[in-house]
Amino acid sequence: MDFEHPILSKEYRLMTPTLMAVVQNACFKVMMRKTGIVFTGEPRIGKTRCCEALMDEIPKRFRHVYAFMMPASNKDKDVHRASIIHQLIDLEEIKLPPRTPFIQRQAILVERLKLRAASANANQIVMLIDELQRLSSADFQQLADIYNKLRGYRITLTVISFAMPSIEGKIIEFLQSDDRHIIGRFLSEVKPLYGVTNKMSLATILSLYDTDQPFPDISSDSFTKDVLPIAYANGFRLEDLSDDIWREMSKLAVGKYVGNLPMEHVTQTVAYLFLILSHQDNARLTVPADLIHEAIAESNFKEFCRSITTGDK
Amino acid sequence: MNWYYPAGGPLPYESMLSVLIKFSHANFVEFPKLSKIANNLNLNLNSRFINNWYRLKKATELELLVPEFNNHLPFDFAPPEGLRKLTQEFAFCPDCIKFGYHSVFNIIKTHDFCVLHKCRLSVACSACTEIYFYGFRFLEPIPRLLTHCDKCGFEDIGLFKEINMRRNRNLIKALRSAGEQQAAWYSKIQYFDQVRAPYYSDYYSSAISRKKLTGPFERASGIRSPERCANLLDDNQQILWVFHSGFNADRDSFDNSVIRSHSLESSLELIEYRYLSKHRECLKRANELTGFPNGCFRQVKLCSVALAYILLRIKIAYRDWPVAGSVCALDSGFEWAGSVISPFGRGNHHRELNILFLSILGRLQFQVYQQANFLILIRPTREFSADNHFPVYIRKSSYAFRNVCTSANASLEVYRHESGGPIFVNFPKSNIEPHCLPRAQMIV
Repeated sequence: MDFEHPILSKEYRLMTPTLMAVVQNACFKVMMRKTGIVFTGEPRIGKTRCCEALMDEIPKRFRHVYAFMMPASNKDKDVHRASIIHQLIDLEEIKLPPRTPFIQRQAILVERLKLRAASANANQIVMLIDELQRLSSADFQQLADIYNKLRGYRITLTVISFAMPSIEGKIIEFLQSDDRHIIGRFLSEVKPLYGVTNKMSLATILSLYDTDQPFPDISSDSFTKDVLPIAYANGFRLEDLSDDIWREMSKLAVGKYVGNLPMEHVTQTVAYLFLILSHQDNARLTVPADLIHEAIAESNFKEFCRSITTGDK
Repeated sequence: MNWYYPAGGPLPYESMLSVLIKFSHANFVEFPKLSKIANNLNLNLNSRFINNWYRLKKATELELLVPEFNNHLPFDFAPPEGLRKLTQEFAFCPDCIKFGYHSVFNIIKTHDFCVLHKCRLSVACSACTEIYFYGFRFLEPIPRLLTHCDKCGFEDIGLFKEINMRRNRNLIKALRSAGEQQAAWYSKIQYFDQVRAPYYSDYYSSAISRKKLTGPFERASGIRSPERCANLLDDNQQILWVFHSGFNADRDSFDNSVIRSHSLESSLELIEYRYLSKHRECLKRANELTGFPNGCFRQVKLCSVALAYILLRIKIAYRDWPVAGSVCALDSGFEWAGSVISPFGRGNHHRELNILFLSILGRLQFQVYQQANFLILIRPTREFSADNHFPVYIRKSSYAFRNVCTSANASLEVYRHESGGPIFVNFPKSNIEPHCLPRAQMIV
């Protein structure tokens, strides 16, 4: 198996039921010109992948919408200071003198967003924010200002965000400080995201590796057929391993990951299996239980669950 | 560094100034900083700036952003002296500027019309030059409060209007098509720098010269001029490009007068015989005009052939006419002709004088058909000088014009302007007072 293979380089996207549900849901919000929706989920369940998928899908489905993605961060040590304007200006690669006043920065950003929207013949901008929980309260205030300014130019801003469940703490904070307009605009709709919740879901996900044309735009064989052509021709399917993988991973899952397997570790397990099995491709290929156990161990799932849940290293 | 510019880059044949202003606004970069990007150029909008554009070619970052880089610079279309100084005269099409477009051809000094909208260009007022031509400035509010000048009609060159316009594919095609036509014309004209040098420099010197030369250049190049594309050219005279041998010291010297077998007298007699046999009376009247006897005012009806012939004679005899003190010119007869050294040398050839005569006649028609009063001045011109080695053009006069004196409704009057002044061709129906000098001049 080639080192550059998409399975190892992770340059592929599985249209899992969760991802498709997110795309459907988010696109509906865009169509209805909603102001915001937040998807929350535990680490490594695939939030960023969903965000990237939306970044691809929204322009395809809505030709007259300008969409862009921003991985949020808080550069300042002071968590109460706002930096979203700076982040967005950095994202646009606008170089401004260090002492440019804030109001001017904001005007410049709005001007650029207007230009972007005009280029796309759009009167709606979709801002995809990953790691929303990293924004400070002041960032949300500035986001509301941008929303209002764009509204003045008849441009609707829809903020679709992905965050850790801790974002709910931020909502409580806004409620306490009576900043309900922030909640109303961006945080009124919070939808939880889950990883692989049951055996059937896992079977569906694994079957995607067996399905032809894994990349929608490129005609190609399925991953299983590509990596294990002889075994595939003789009826080997990755989907058939779903029972074993589910059982083994469920044994190790603890805390929030019980019945909520992270996609990151599922895909790593599959990658390991493909890597090992690619050297043993034959007509009677079987996957021993200890290989599955080994693949899950290689994905570091057990340690991950422990450290996430208890903080142990 | 990723600079922002709308997909597709600048519009076809958009001026580099327009591109830089938009670039500056889109990226919030002031001109001084932009000049660092653009290879440390001095991006001031003075004449030096225009010359500095030569060096823009080396500004690779801009070159990457601007495909067909040279199409946005005026140097392939006009010599540097033929370009406008933008701070003094920023010409723009009032319709193009509405969608944020400024053509590279508008920078050419004598180009004063828009081929696309078939209209004359406007010139931005000094206030607009100050406000809008320096790109983005941090001191100004964002977005700008005023984008339209009520005084001159100029509108801020911005990307928003242009982006909206980009959706209209037909308009982009029209811009490209019009731009290519004009580029082909000006590129071809550049070639005349070598073969028709006196005309080439004249073409870019003034709008009047350009108007006179557009028809001949069309004939020489075989390309429709931008004026004709814009339906702004009413010059339909036939034109002929000819060579005349000019003065050659070896050939035309006293020792070797064999080749030039005709004397000045015989050449002029031949012209009289050929063209003036039916206009003897006209010639007689016209002679009185140039003679200006006793300071009396004389006015005659225009006879094109007679007037052209008289102008030919005066041109042969005088270097400049009229000048201060030159009250009268020759009146009649050619007894004097033996002592005159003509522009073509001492021994004259029929053909050269014939070309000069026909050229004067054709130009007279061109000037008359402009429907405006004009003065006629005799001045030295390179094209009919003895050392001219370039081709010259002749405008063919029409039969009707050559016989304008016989026309029943002929109304053009010819007289001397003031005492001892130049010949003045007057349209009686025009509103210009006779004592006012008309703006149009015909230089022979």
